[in-house]
Amino acid sequence: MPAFAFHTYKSQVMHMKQIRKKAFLPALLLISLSVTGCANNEDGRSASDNPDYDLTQVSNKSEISQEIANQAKRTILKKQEVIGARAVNTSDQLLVAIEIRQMDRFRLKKLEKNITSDLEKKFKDKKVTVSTDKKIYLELDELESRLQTKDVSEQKLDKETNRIKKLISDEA
Amino acid sequence: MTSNKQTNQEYKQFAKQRETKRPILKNCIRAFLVGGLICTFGQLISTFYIHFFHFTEQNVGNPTVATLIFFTMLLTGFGLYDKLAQFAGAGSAVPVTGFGNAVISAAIEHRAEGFVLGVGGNMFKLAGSVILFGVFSAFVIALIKTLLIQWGVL
Amino acid sequence: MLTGQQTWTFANKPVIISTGTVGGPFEAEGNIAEDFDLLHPDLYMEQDSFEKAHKVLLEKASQQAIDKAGLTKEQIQFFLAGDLINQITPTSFSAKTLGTPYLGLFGACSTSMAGLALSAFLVNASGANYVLTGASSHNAAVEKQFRYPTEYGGQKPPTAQWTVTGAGTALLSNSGQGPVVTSATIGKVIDMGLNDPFNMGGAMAPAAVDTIEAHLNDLNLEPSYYDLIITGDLGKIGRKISLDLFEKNGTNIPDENYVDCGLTIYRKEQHVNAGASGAGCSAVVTYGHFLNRMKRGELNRILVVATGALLSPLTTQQKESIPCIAHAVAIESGGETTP
Repeated sequence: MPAFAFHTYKSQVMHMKQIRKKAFLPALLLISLSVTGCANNEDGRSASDNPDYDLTQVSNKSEISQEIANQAKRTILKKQEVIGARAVNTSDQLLVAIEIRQMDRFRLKKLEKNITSDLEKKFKDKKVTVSTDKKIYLELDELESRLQTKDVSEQKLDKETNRIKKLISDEA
Repeated sequence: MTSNKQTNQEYKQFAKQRETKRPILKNCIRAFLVGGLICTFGQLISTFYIHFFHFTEQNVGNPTVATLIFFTMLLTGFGLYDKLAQFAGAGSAVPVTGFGNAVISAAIEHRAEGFVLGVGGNMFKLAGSVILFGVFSAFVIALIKTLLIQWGVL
Repeated sequence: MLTGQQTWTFANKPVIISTGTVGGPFEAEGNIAEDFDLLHPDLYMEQDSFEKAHKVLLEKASQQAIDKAGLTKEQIQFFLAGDLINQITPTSFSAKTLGTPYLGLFGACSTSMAGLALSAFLVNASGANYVLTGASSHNAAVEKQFRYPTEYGGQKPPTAQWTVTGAGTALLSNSGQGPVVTSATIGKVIDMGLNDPFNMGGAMAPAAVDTIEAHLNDLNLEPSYYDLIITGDLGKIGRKISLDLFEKNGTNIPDENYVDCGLTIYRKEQHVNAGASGAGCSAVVTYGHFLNRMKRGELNRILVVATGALLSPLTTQQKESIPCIAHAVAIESGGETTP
């Protein structure tokens, strides 16, 4: 199945409108479509078709159960502002990346803080890290996919999680 | 003397009426479109770096700016940027490409006077004041913020 | 001979025996490309800087004029020329190459007619047999001097003008074939308090009006005496302002007999905003285009009024207004006067 088939109807319509408006933009938009298209879910993670509810559920066959992460994603996605979530948990950590609705990105910092404290309350025994960064979202998406399809050892998962955490704090 | 001043004033009026005005609305629309297009291009570069290299949204700004300035350098060197600017006005002056153009054009212009006194001495002829007042205003803002935090306002 | 307040009349009719005009690539695409003796396809003219290219422009134009007259440079007694660069160095370097006794002139874009008037005076008063005069400007060198770097992206307003890359020279003699210089009016500095360096046409218009009216008054002539009254580089705005000023002062100059060099040299599609300017502008258009038309018999009497804005980047930054000047020279076809 081609990747862009998962591109939602709504966003396609929006893009179409822009294409019609400015004749010189289609080339640019096509490139951006192919770059930003969510190329996930060919790996058996269950997903919903609602563009504002991009939820993945990772099966629990890997060494570390991803139930906490799945639960966290379901919780966050209940919020209006959140339109997508990816999460991975280890034995002591919970790493979450969220996608915020465009117009709500003006309150990005505040939302990130609220969600972090919500999750911290819910999962008291985990160290929670929340990021709204696109890069973290992509990294966690990839890690989820690997957890779903391959056997990832606990050690490997810890290593990957730490690597992603480092990316979050890397400012320069 | 006063009558002289008066005729000068009268002539200014007289000349002003016959002057071709800058087409402000047209310039604004052009600036909006071209400026927006440059920023879209910048966003595209950012997205590219996030997807294919190890950059996060936090730090992708640096390579993006570098890439934009690289393209500006080519456009300036081939003599296209000033033509774009005549069309776009603020649209090509406000993004970082405008700053790059100011530095690069001055460097090219003064190449004939040598590297040290020519390029080195004149490179920041136009951009120097941007840097100076940018740094100075950042200093003032930081000072205000520090004071407000000290006093417990923030 | 002084006639009236500020006008010389030349009884001995100095002859413009030959001219030389050189242009750059932008002029080659222009309106009067066929009137140039030499057009350079490259703005650098095979030099490594624009200032050196500027020097080459004037050297080549001088050589053209001398060659066309069938003379050698040793036969030229005086060289009167100028340009817009600091300390008029391109002209001085050209004078070095020429090796002729030299007087450097500065009158900004009015230099061409200042030089022609003085040369005619010298020849008329038997001060010389052959005098070479000229003016030149180079777009990139002048932009660098007065405004921003060439490649800098600053939007120019519609009142801005484009500096001509070109040099025009004329060789004057006391005898020979060609158009003759009959009179010249030296202008006063007129400053009406305008200070926008991107609207020089507007600043210079009153100077042109003052000189033209002084010329007509001194010689007691009607404007219709001349087939064309040619201004140097007033551009669209300056031309319109000056026409309205003439109307206000009751001087009747018909629209179709009043032309501007700055509006003649380029085609409309070349996007030069209000028109062309620069010391080379009036020089190449007069010595090239208009003298050619005279030789073809299309024109008999012309009055060339080169206008100059005597500003410097320093005075502009110090918020001074722009002092302006205009010099007028009357040229008539030689057919009836030379024996």
